Amino acid sequence: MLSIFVWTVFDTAAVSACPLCKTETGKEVRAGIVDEHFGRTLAAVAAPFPILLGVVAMIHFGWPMSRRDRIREEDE
Amino acid sequence: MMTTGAARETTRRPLIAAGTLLGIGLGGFVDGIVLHQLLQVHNMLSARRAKDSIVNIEINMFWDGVFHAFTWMMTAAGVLMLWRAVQRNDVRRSGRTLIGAMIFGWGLFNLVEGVIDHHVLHLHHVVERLGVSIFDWIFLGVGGAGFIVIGIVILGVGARATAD
Repeated sequence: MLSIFVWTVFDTAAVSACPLCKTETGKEVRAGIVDEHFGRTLAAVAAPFPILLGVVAMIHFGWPMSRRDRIREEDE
Repeated sequence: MMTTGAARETTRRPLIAAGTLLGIGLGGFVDGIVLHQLLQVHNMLSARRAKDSIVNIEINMFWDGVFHAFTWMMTAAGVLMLWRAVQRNDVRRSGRTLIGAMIFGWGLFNLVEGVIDHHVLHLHHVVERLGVSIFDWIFLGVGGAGFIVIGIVILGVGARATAD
């Protein structure tokens, strides 16, 4: 069943261009995605998200300084 | 802040954090669905790989998928945080606070993504065929800073409403 699915989806149409397609275009797409810049491109696409998560963490936990001050206040 | 009667400490922080994360995720989906897929004015790497061949369109489609995977993770984490927040007895549950935080998160997404992807890394621009254009500045000013201000105003109203 799986082999029929794979054959049907990835191996039949000569014009198929998906990254898994066994066609010339498919190979070019794969080569264009997994090239020497793959890591750098992935880091660039992901770049906004750690910053956004950092802002959310600060909203949730507060500024590191203010947390320390709060703990000190509680100790006193 | 004290609540009436029970004199117990309450906080809005977990709800605001969850709403912000949901706004970031859903704002990312709006960008991806409307600008990348429906209007097709840009794609993730369209400034680096012009959409002038089926190969480049496919490569852009792959990186659009990676971007959507990240926005999905933000949304899923936001749902989890919201679930945890509403289970806490010390968290004030307020629709205004949640909506305000979501709009704030949407604006934050537009601002950070706009600055990094459009202006610093030049991965793409709002209307790719124009390069850096007025639309990039509108995206930052209205979609970014504007939504952040609207979100903060609603959060302020939510704070007053829950304090009453």
